[in-house]
Order: sequence, then structure tokens, then C-alpha cells
Amino acid sequence: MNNKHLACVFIGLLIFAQLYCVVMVKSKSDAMKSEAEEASLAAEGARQQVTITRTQLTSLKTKTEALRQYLAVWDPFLRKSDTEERGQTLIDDLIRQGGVTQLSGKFDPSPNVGNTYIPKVVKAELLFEDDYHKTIDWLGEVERSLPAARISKCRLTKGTTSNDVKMEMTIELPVVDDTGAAAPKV
Amino acid sequence: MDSKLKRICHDLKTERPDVGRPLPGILRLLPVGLYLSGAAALGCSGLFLWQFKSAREARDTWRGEEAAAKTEQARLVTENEAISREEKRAEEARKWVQGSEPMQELLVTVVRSMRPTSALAELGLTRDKDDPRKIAFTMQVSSGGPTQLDDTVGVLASALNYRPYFAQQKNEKGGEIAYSATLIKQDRKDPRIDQASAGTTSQPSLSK
Repeated sequence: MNNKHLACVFIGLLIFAQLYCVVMVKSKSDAMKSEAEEASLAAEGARQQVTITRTQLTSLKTKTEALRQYLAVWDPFLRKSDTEERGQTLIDDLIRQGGVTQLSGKFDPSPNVGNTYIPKVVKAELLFEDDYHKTIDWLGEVERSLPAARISKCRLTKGTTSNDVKMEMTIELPVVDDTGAAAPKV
Repeated sequence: MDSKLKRICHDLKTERPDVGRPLPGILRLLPVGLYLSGAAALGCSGLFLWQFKSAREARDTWRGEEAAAKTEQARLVTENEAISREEKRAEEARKWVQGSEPMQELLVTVVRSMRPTSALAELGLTRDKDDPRKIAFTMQVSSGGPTQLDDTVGVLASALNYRPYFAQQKNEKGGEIAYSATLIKQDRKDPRIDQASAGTTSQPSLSK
């Protein structure tokens, strides 16, 4: 092999190297095109998912609107007795304002099983003896002032005098769980 | 002049015979091929590079859109969860409120249903622990008899829509009647929800 042959081989190698570079660039370009195609599909899928979720959200919002407004209306009343101490104070204030004769009273926190929104209640077991009208009016006042309070027991019996009644009652004041979501927006 | 130059050149480099065979004529195309392939390689590489850049830009754009869509999706999912959570809380609030119907009107209705000749010895209302909408109703009528009982139960049904279930009646000494039943309000649908949905969100006068 002489110099001419070597020169030919060298030129041939140069041509091959050029072709190889072109092929490499093309393969990179093809790979990038493929990536772009995949990204396009993924973006399209994500967009479709967003559309589906948005539709579901709109539907859920519409479906639950009345219920959520109901909660928004009631929430402030349910939160009125946000702690056990507050619940007790509310009842004590009402008794003082109503001027009914209280024979006994007991306040206890109690679990409200099966309700995660109101996991606890303040249970007040009270005994009164006073004029019938005064006592019944006071009961009405409790229900007006504390609309979310639950009178779980009420027993009326004759009092010591003719107009008097004995009223034995249990009031449950809800204690709302604040660890969950914030108060709902109207 | 020419012959002089030939002579000088001849002096510098004498004629030498070829040691090898000459290359085939076709290999003269090799340099041409090199130039052509160089030009083609440059052209093609430029084209492919341009395609590569375009594809990369497109890929980045799509990825950006995908990321934006995923962020939006996450926001929607969070909002969806918040709404579901609120719905659950609302359900539980409603359950509580439905089990907290006022007792005063029930008591007053019973007392007002008594005739002047009748006497009520005892009246008791106790909510069921599991289903507070059910109220255990006990009443002891010392005078007035079964007619008074019918009147009272009738008024509860007509005025307040409470129906008695599992009613039991005992006649005791001295004409006293002990009556017990479970009262359930018939109107299951809470009108306050409709009121709320109609946008009446002001004071929940709550008709409690």
C-alpha cells in the first residue's frame, strides 16, 4: 500500500465520519421528536384529566350547594359553645337571666359517638322548680338563644305548690371539632 | 527559455520511473465525493439540528403545559376534597340539628291539649340516643281518661306532625292512665335546607 492508497483510505474515512455525524444528528433529532410527541400526549392526557376533574367539581359544588349553605347558616350556632367552659357559662347565664329556681345542676363533657364534626357535647343535667309559665318560657328561651342545643330529656312533674312544676332536663351543647376545615364560606 | 527551465528542473529532480501501479481512475472521484459529502453533511446536519431544536422547544412547551395542567389538577383535587369534607360536615351538622327539634312546643302542645276537667300528673320526653329524632314520650293522666289521651295524641299529629309508634297504655289505680310511645316527626325533609338553598342565609330564625 503506497501513499496514494493511504490518502484514499483517509478520504474514505473522512466521508464515512461525515455520514456518521449526520446519522447521529438525525437520530438525536428523531429521539427529540419522539419525546415531544410523548410530551404532547402526556399534556393532552393531563388536560383531559383537568377537564374531567373540573366537571366533577362543578357537579359536586352544584349538588352540595344547599347542604353547604345549610352548614354556613348553622355553623355559627353550632360553634357558640366552642369549649366546655363556654357551654357551661352560656347555660349559667341563661339560668341567671331567666330567674328560674334551680335545684341542682351538673355539667359533664360527653363524647358524641359517630359524629366527627361534633365529637363532643357538654351535657348539662338540670333540675328546676318554679312557676309553670316561667319554667316553660325559660325552656323556650334556651331553645331560642341556643338553637343548636339539644334538649335530650325533659320531664315535667307537679311541684310543691299548685302553680309550680318540677322540670328535670338534660341539655346537650355541641362542641365543634376545629381540627378539620375552617368555618365554611357562604 | 523553456528548454533552460527544463534543464534546471531536470537538474533538481530527475525523472524517476513509477514504483507502483497507478490508482484506478474511479478513485479520482474520491475528493469530489469528499466535497459533496461534506456539503451534504453540513446541509443535512443543519436541517436535522433545526428539527432537533424545534422538537425540543415543542417538548418544553408541552411539558410546561403538562406541569400547568398538573398544578391545576392538584388545585382542583384539593378543592374537591375540601368540598367533600364540607359536605360531610354539613351532613353531620344536619344530623345534629334534625335531632335537636325544639321540645318546648311539644310540651306546650301537650299541656294545651288538656281539657279543664283533665289533669296531667307527669310528662316526659326523652330522645333516643342512637336516633335523636325519635322521642320516647311518657304521660300520666290522673283524670280525663282515654278520651283525653286520644285528644292529646291527635293534637300532636295534627299540629306538630308527630306520630306515635309502639304506643302502650296502662290503666292504673284511681283512673290514672300511663301512656308511653315513641314519637317520630313525619316531615323528614328539613325545610331549612330548602330555605338555605333559596338563599335565605340571613338569621336562621331556625323556626326552632
